[in-house]
Amino acid sequence: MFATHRTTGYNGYALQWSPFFEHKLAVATASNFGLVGNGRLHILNVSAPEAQIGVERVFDTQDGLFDVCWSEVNENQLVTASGDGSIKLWDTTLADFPIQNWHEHQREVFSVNWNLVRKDSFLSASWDNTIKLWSQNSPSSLQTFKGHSHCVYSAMWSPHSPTLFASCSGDHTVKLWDTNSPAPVQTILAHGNEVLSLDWNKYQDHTVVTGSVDHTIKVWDLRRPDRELNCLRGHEYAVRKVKCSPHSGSLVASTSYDMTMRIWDITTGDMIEIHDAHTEFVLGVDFNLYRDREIATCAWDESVHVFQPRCLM
Amino acid sequence: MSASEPTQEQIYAQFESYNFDNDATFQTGLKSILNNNLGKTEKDQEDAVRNAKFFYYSRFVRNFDYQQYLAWRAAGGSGSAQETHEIQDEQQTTEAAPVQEAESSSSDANPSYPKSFQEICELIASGKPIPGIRQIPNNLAEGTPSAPKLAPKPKPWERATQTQQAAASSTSQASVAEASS
Repeated sequence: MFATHRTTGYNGYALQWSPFFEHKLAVATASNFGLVGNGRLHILNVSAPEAQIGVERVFDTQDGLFDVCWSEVNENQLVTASGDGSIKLWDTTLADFPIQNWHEHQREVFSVNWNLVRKDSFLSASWDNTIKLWSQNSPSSLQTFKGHSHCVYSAMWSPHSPTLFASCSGDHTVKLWDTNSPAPVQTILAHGNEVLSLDWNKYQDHTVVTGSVDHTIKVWDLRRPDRELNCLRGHEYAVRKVKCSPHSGSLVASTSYDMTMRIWDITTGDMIEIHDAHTEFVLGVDFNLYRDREIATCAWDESVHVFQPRCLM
Repeated sequence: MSASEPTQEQIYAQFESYNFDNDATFQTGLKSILNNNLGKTEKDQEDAVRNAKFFYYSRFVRNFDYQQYLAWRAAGGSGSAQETHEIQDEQQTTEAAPVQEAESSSSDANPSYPKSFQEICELIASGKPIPGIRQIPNNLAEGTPSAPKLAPKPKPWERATQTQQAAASSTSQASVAEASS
């Protein structure tokens, strides 16, 4: 069983549970599948244990929203990534408009990610091939990282280091960066096709997981970049998002254009759950940080699902 | 290497069967091209899409002579089902949506895009207005942003580390106590 919330007129792109409140869920959506038209940020309240979903607030934007991340220092604030290249900072106590709007990227911004250790900055990854580092208090970006030769789909901070982050790109590579250096410290030719998503294992230093248009998910030890530790097969189309569990070093969730969300045990390589209730591409997935069995997904079918996967019961 | 070079026809066929639909980079570029061609005639837009495909393919996949390719096409091309479909497209311009074209020309290796996705692509490609787009002022919120009231909460993996450290330190204290007793 799962609870559903309809984002009518808006196709789901990404979602994230609040790092402060176990019941708050932010969902980034775009009308017309992100091709053209408006975006909407939804702040949802999910009650337990029945998972009734209510709307706390919505914010509308001119262009589609492709990603969202909560601030790690202010419980009311969050950042969105827009199709028009803009990045907006929102305060859920203030209606209608963002409190900050940055527009430096030349093309779509596809991911935003807040620093998990120092918590003083966030990253954006764009189809203009660059990654930018931002502070919410600075009117312009602090740093631009160039090195990818195609769209950068995601840039994610290490959960263990204040300066280390990894990125993945349409150029088939994963790059490892340190904010103290403008050039990547490491490049891995990760897949035979575009790498759409990446996440860090929270319990094993040096371990990242990638998802690709080649349908596979790969697990990497960054100290041995010549070959993946494991390659997980099962998705029938491109893997759109991978997310490492905050509760276990062995669990990874993934979403795909095959309209499913799957959960994997990366130590055995087994797929241990498949959620196939969405009726269009599934894009977003996140584990609730503080209700350790709860997971949320969003899809192009204009719906958000919140549920407890059987494998976590 | 030259012995294994494909023939011109093979190159054209590869170009025509290239999976533009699944190529996120191309799809992004296409989006802006279609936006730039809003209001043009359907034929112009179709040409823009085909030119975009050639430009992209020749730059990132394999270079070939576009004029020769067009001449080959005009002469009947390979006569494949896809070719027939594209020629039909030229006559029935309502089917000019690039996604639909790509989908019909590719194998079942493609995910099936929602029907309304194709309809929107058709609207964009045909320069028709997209219903329901609202103008949102590019304003900032009035009022004072909130000040944080909550301290950052330890993440589950940080709690686990702290617990381990606490366990380790209590163990060492216990052993110290044992040793001193």
